[in-house]
Amino acid sequence: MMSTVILRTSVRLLIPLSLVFSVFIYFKGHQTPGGGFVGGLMLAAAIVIQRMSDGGASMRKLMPFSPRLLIAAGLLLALGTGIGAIGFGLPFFTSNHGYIPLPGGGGKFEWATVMIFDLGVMLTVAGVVVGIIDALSQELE
Amino acid sequence: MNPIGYFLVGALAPALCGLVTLLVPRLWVLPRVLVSLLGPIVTLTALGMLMSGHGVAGTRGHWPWMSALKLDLTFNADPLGLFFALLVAGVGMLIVLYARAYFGPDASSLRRFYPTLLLFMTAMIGLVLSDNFLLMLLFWEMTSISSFLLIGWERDDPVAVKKAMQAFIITGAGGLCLMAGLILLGVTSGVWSFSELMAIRQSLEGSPQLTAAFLLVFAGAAAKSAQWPLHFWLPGAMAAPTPVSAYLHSATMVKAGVYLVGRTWPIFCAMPTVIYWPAVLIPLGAITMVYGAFIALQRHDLKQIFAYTTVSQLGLLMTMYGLAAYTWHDHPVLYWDVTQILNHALYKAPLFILAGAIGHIASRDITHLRGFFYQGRTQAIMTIVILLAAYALAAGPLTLSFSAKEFFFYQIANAIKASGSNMFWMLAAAGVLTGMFNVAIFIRLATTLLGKADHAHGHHDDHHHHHEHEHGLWPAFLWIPGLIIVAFQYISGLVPFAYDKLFLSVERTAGNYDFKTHLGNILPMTWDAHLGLPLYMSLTGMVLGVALGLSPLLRGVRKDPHDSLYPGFYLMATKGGGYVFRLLQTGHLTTYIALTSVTIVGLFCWAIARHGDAFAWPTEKLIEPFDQLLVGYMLTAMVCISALLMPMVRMRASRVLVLGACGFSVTGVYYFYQAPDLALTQISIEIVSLVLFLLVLSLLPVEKKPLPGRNAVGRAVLAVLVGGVMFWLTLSSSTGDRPVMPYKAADGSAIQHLGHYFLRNSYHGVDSLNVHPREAQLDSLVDRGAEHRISYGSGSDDHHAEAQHDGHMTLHKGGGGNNVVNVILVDFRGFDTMGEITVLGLAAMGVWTLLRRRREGEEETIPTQEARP
Repeated sequence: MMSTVILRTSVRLLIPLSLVFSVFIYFKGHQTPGGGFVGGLMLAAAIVIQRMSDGGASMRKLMPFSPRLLIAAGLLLALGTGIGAIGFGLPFFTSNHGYIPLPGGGGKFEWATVMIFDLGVMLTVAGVVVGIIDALSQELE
Repeated sequence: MNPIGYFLVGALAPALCGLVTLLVPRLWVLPRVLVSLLGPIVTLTALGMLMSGHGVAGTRGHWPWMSALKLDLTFNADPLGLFFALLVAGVGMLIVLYARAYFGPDASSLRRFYPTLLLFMTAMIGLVLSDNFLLMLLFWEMTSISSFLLIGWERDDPVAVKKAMQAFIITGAGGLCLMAGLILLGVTSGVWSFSELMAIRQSLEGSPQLTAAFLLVFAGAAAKSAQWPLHFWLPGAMAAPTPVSAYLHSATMVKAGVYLVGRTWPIFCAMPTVIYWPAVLIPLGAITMVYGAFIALQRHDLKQIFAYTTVSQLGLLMTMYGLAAYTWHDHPVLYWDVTQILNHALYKAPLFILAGAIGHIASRDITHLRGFFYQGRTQAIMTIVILLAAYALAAGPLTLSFSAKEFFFYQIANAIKASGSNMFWMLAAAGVLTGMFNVAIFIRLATTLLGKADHAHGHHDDHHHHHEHEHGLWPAFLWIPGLIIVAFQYISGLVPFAYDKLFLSVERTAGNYDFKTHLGNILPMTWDAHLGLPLYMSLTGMVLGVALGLSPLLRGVRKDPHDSLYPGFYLMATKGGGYVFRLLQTGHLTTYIALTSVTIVGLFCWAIARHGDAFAWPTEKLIEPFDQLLVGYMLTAMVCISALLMPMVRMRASRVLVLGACGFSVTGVYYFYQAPDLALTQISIEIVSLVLFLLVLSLLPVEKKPLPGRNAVGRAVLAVLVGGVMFWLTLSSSTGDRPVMPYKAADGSAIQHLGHYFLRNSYHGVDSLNVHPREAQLDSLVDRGAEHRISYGSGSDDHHAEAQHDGHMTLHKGGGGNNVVNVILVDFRGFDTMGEITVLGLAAMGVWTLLRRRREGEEETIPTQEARP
């Protein structure tokens, strides 16, 4: 679309960074600003920038499956979090969290079932944004 | 095993087996049939184990699902529910076999048919076993949906689809009434299950809400059970393949309404308010009963005849429950009265089954069936079976049907005595008339099938797919299921002892009426009938029926005038809807924006007029020292400038950029006022929406010359008004008094605002709300955000010590996150987020579908815009 050498070069550097950053945003969301929604938008933005600079084919190389799959997976994960609680005999959408001690030193990782839910949110948001933008861009081409 | 396991297995087994059949390779017909058969068999086994383990005195199974929404998996195996479930599963088994014979070895039809049928079976079994109102409603709607799929089976046939829509819309509207009624009942009484309501029914104070609830519930039941004047959907539903008619319209779906009335009559009749019970049920039921039988006699299509007799019988059942209000020696004259329901299923299912079978090999039009008996061996057998069933329809002696009809007439006689009202003589006349029509139908059927053949018709018209006649065992299953079912009619009629043995446990008639008081429990069988009003009524009906059946009267085809009701309403709805559509959907974006803005301003003015004080100007000092606000002012100025630039910029792309500038300035404001979460989200949204806008704009048609100045003053005024409203709303929502929340802090003091509650409990819960009973058992936890949210933890973290201070709980845990916004989104309000991302996903689907349609439209050069009015 609006491909220039500058854009393409910087994108090559930016994509990995923003992909990692979106995951980072998602993980830290529980304690500090961030979360699944923003993470999903960042992820989508990264993929969309790739699409804008190098076209649809390269985007499909970066994400070799339909955005629909992301939406479906995200919704299933979110719903699965809710249903999972039933498996433990608790009402739908009961959450749980705790700590896993990390090896070496006194660090610990806090886990929460809502992280799975948040991952579902992230994937759905990313799938929706990428899907719509991709469909519209295809319309243009 | 907890009873809930039996219930879940019993209710869900058919649907699961239906899903499994989808995995069976396409051409393996026999395994498909066997897997489908497994569904009802598992159901019967599970329910049998439940009964042998717990008896039938009302075993409840309970499992919390969404307790805060009053929706729990609460089942109750009481006599009425169990009886229905066994009937549904038992007849279902035979229908599975019949469907195989009916569709023949047509693999693709069976592949589609069985899962749908089994889904319906699950819905029906769940419906009759549910104790919770809302759970029952869920299954109720499931029967509507699955029956829609089944009735509209011939999906290429526009008539069948139209009839399926008709059935769906009418039963669906009834379902909405039922939902309103049940919610009203739950809210008024405070209990959400039938058995609890039954326990407290005497104590319920008379209130108009209960009367309204009764009327609404009855409306739902009447629509489902095809009561006049909504009965016309049932004959229309005969567009379905015959296995569906035999199943849905004899023993199952149409009985859902009857079931509901049977389920609720002991409750409503005991309530001091519901004096209308007999006044509502009896007239409607009686009209349905006579009218259905009257039309049935004047139909020529076998399925239509039986459809209208079904309508008639459903009317009878409703009347009967209406009569339940009249007691005899302070006993209700009936309890669940499964005899009538069973009796109907035992002759109506065989009638439909045989109607399909005869239509399969000859014709369903009785004028073409003269001398059918003599046309061959199969024809002779089918004639015998259908006449056996039709004899039961006529309630001839030595059948269960005879006893059931006697019982019904007895109830009328009792009502005459108990009420002393002469109105019931009219009901008695209606009963005799119905009996007369039914006998006449039997006589006509018998004389036609056994009569001398004038000419034979070879064509068959029941089945739309013509295929070769099969050889082997399967064709016999066209009539074997009918024979099996109708055999029960005669076994029960001839050996009353056997019937009582089987059904007395679910039919508590003991001592309720005076047939054979000295024998106690036994139903009035043919040889027990003694002289009295009921027997005279039966005999009168039979004599008149034979005379009418042989006479040349009423032999033509009569159109049911109610058939035009639905098309009329449909036309009105579409015409009216079209008018409103053309009024509002002009296709101009500016109109939409103007409409929305005017609505916002209008609603705001209305709110001000009603509750002006809620929008009062805040009295507290808002402005902080200037030096702290300098950056804020600068950012705000940028927002304002970009907003003012908007109408001046002409090019679309530039407008998008200006809008972006506005958004980024807002991001700055958020950041400056310490809302990093909002800032982060806003900046991501800005990036993505910028791209989206640019894409969409380049897809839009080339912009025509904008119309400067036209209505500019009006637009400016509207813009200023909307801006003012939004400003005021934001101001009052951030400074005004918020409603007090019903949450308690750990020390017992009230928490003023929901926001405070979230702040306090985001990381670890310190405040308590509703505690789920399971949590105490689990010896851990507790905190609840909103009512439906609880969090519970393993209790191995550093807040343990703090929790020890609290007397009544071992450990509080909150959402476990310091980011309050995120914890609210994914934990406290997780349900909402779930809904939101679902909507997002749906929106994406919508975009894809629209774009694809657009592209296909271009390729086929179909003018999409011009085709619309």
